[in-house]
Amino acid sequence: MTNRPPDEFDRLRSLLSLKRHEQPPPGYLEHLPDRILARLQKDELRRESGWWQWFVDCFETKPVVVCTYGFVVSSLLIAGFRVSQTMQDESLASTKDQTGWLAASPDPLTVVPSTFLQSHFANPAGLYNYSSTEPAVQTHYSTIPNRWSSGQVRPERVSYSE
Amino acid sequence: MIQTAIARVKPPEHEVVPETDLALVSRSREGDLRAYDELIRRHQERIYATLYHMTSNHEDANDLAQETFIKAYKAIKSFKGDSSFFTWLYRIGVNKTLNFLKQRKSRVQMSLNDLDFNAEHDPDLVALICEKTPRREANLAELQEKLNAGMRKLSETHRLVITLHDVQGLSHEEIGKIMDCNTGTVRSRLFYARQEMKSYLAEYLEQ
Repeated sequence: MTNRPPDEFDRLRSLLSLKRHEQPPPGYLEHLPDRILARLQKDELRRESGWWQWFVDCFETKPVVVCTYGFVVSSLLIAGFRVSQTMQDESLASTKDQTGWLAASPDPLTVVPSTFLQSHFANPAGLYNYSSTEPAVQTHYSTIPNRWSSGQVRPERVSYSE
Repeated sequence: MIQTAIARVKPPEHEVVPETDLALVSRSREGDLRAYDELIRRHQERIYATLYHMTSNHEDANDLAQETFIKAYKAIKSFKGDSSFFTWLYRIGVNKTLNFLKQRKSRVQMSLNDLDFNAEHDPDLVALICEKTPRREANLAELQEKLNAGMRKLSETHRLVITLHDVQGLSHEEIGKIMDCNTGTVRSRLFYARQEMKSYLAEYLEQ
């Protein structure tokens, strides 16, 4: 057996062996497997409980995801509101600038009815010529003979004894 | 022949023969968490130590060790058995750590209070510090601080190769498999890493 020539790094290696004595906090290695298995079981449960639970768990563990989600939802709402406003404005503008057969048809919002129609629909059968505070008094009667008309009907005495 | 014959001798009935890693892996593949628990207990110390020497921080090493074992469990079906389970596990841990260190670049932390007091009774260290080192007054804490500062100065790959070889005691071949490179590259990296460390720790290494 031959003696190995001294390595120029032998002393360095001896010094580096000091690092083997660096230890984790007491009891750490006893609990590490339990922590790992607990995380594995939690992952397993999360996978089985469906996407909604996964979504909620993501919110609990990843605040960045919550912020991103909030930002995306808010942006979508604002964008939707702006788009709907733009579409409304465009539809109004296109109504004003219409040409062709649509332009020939009357616009019910802007067409003014004739005077007759206005008066008819405003006061059908002349109902609104009278009011409750000024009752109507009929001063002329029809020309059709009526037995209750004055001069034709007279009250007569009636006897019940005969 | 003799060794084969000895290996074939049936152990006594009352003795519990520990399952091999491969047997535990195949049980873990079927969802047996108790088998995986045993695998964790077998390898956690070396995995944690490597990650700790790479990150120099207990909390980071703890997070990375947990992530390593969780990722290994999820990917255990892809383990083909080309290498040992330990090498495969190491590879996962090392890749995770290298990615982590790339992201952490600016953050430098060092735990200096984790030194086992038994180190004071290590004969090699006592000899090194008290007899050969000119700085005889140097205490262990100071030496550890200097050593860790030197490790921090190394690149991630150099630190890894020093950790795996000089601290963990892995062979060049094993390191090659873990780092996915040939043994020549491992030797070369180890040489340059040691040179850097030697120049940094010159005052402790002078004859």
